Amino acid sequence: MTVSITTTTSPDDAVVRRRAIGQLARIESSRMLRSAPIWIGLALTVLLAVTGALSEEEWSAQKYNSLVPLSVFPLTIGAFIAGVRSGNRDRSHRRPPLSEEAALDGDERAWARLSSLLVPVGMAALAMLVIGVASRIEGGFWIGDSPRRTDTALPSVFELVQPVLSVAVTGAAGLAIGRAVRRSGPAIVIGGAALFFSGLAYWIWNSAYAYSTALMQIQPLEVDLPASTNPSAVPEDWLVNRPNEYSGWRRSIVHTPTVIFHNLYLLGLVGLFSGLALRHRPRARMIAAGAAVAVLAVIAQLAVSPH
Amino acid sequence: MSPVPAIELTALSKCYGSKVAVGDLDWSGGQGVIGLLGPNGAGKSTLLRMLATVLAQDSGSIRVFGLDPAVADERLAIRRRLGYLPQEAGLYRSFTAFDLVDYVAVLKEITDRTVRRDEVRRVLDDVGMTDDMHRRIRTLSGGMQRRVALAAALLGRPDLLVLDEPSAGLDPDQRLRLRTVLSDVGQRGTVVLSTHQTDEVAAFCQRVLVLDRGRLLFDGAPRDLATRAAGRVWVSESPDPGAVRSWVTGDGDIRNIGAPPTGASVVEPTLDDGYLLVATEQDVRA
Repeated sequence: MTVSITTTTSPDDAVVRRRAIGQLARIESSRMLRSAPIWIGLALTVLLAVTGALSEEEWSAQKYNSLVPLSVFPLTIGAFIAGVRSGNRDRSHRRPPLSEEAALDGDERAWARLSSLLVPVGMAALAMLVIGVASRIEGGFWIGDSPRRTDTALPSVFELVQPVLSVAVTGAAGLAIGRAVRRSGPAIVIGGAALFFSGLAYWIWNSAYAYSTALMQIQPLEVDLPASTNPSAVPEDWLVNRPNEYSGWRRSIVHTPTVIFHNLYLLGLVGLFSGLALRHRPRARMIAAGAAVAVLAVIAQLAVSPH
Repeated sequence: MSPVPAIELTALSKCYGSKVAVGDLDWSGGQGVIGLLGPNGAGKSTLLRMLATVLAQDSGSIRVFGLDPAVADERLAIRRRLGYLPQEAGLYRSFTAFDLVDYVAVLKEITDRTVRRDEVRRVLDDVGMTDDMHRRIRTLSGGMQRRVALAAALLGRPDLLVLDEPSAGLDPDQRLRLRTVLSDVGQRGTVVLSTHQTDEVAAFCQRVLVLDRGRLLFDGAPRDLATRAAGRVWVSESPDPGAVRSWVTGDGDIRNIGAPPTGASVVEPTLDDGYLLVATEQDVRA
């Protein structure tokens, strides 16, 4: 057979291509919406938020930091697992990617999968919106001990954004890891453990480095005060916690500059992991830019740290 | 616009380390069904992967529809007219057959939803998967999964269909259906398929290539391959030491190929005989 040479790409082709990428993103989002880990994560998030809101507070800031950001932790795990499974689809079973020869290649598929993370991110945003509105209606939370105590502390918008970004980070990390490994099972177990320690239990190390690099930065920050502290003598706008069996006098500070730089750090991680989820351009740029933003944001947090 | 062959290979080579998978191959071909025969490791899958634009050559050139797969825009233009069935299709096991083929249809830029759904149903029907199209891939047998992968390759009525052992795992009925589908595609475009089944090549290929160790040993019509063994196949009651290859037939006779001794009972050669003779002569030369 002889055939005629056809033109290669035209403006019409570009339109078709964009439309196909959009449809692929919709399919991926629809599959994300049907992903069990996402719904289990959301259900546990709602459960944690409701039980956290209804329980009696036993210590200062208990509700404050259990609702924002910790209640969203199950959703971050759900997004991670769903991300690993989605990213691993073209890597599992030692087989080549599905329809390698198709017009939409690996990077366009990766972009579609990255865009599907808007599903868990949207869920986290909705959860934070509900918590933000409900806490304002309720009047706020308890931080500090009398006489330097408040019962009207409210998480700022920056604090409410942080758990949303955390879900984006773990989802993108899941996609990047799923794309890199042959078997998703061990990656989920190891990644889940890493998220537990960096997201939920980082306070074990209780240092500025830990809360600057943690997935979920718990506010208020606690600054140790001298043993001779007289709570009545400290500035009036300070919130102070009395000594307990674990520590001495401490000042509780909801430190907005740290929160903002931590959000920037999370944005950097989103860029870094999104770049790692790609194969070609702009992979290197995204990795470099994401890593640079993350590192600079950590330095900025340490620089403004009240410690 | 000048007419060009659908496929044109010039001094094409691909190596894996020191092993030559495809060596200095020159070939061109066009409309019809082209069968690729050769032993395991002959370089068939490597050649097909290069034709399918998913593997780059080390040297030489490939032109598909006159376009160079090494150039991004031209590769995309080729891919828009291409269907490929690899040996291992990498199907998403959690998808249903329908959803999987629909997903591939989007990857192939079939963007009109109605057209796409109709096309998905058509190709699933072509491979006999209509009744099972809502079952998850993981619940399908190997043969059914193979048919789903074939359906995905058929999407969009490609001008070039590259199939790596398409009949593997299919029962005789499904093979018959496959022949019909591929013959239909071969009427208007090009089908290149690898197989170990010489009867398949004889049944519906217009052209056959025999490949071994990356070298092209034969290129011609299936009957010409059979004719290569004319006068060189004979049956005997015991293995003939002068034969280059002997085997027992279903009748209990010994079938030999090579230079028949005087008075030998020479028989009509089959495609199998031709293929074995070509491959064996290559072995002897090597």
